[in-house]
Amino acid sequence: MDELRFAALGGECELFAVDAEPGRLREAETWIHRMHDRLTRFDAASELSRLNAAAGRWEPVSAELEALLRRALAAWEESGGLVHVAVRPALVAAGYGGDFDLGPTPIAAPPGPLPPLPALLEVRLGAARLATGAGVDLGGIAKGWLADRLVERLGPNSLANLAGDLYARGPGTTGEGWPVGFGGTTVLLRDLGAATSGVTKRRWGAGLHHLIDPRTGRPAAGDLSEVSVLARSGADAEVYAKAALLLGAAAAPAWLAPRSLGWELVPAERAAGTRSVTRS
Amino acid sequence: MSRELPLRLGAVALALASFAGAAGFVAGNLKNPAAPLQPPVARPVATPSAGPTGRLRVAPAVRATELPAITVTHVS
Repeated sequence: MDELRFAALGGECELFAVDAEPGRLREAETWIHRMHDRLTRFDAASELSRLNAAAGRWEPVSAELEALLRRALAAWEESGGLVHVAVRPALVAAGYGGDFDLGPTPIAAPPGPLPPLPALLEVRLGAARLATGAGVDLGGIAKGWLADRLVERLGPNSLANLAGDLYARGPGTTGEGWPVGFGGTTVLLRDLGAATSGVTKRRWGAGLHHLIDPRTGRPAAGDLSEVSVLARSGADAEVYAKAALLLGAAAAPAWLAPRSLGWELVPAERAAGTRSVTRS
Repeated sequence: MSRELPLRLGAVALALASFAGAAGFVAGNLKNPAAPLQPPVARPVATPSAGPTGRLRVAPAVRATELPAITVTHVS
């Protein structure tokens, strides 16, 4: 098995492949760095920043960004509006206007509840248009989506973990799936994605973190600190995890049941604490 | 009258023959209640089961292992 670790997308990325062609992992790493440079909102020259800067008019977008924006619209629909990528103004208002490592930016009044995503974002072949004043932060949905795409490049027996969001394809080294840590246990994943959404990282003050609740336009203040989800794809897992976290402990299980193959809900009072989960 | 009677009798005979044919087909093609269900999607949907704490749920289709994890999903 070949493996490769590197930093990208705001965290550590890990690639694994069995019987991959020589150089395939390095090619995949190069592709991820290229996609990161195009999709970050912290570089004014990135493709995403150009789209944000062009709010109010149609802007040409690459096939990858077009696909991601379409996935984002679908995620908004299937999550009942909870997974909302047009959160950039809310993030900036909350003090997350630049690279997290450079520290918080000035805090401003929150923008209030976000309008429906289709009212802010339109996508057509090769172009997209944001409403004036709107801005996109692709966040976790990009990581899950990129993990799904990456294993297509790595080969039929591979795994891509992009800063916590992953997709495992094929039988792995065991012949029955890839052993992946999930909720304090290890499960064998084969043609499945996993993702975790939470408010325990990227915090810069009391109640200030990177996960915006579109119903308020403020950082989420629910009763869950982390949600991990298994799903048919990395992108699905990311969408389900974020929606479940915003739904809260009471509503999340019923919402996840028909969609997910497994989940862990970590209560907020255990934020950043020790895990003690029990597998059924 | 002489022309209607054969037509009526013919219609009755055709109806009876159709009924008899259908009954014979059904009798010869009884469903075997012991036959396996096809397609397999007819099985009940496997929903994730809960552990005692209720925090972690994993569908039966996903197997746990004692092997060490090579990677883990996490917040970033």
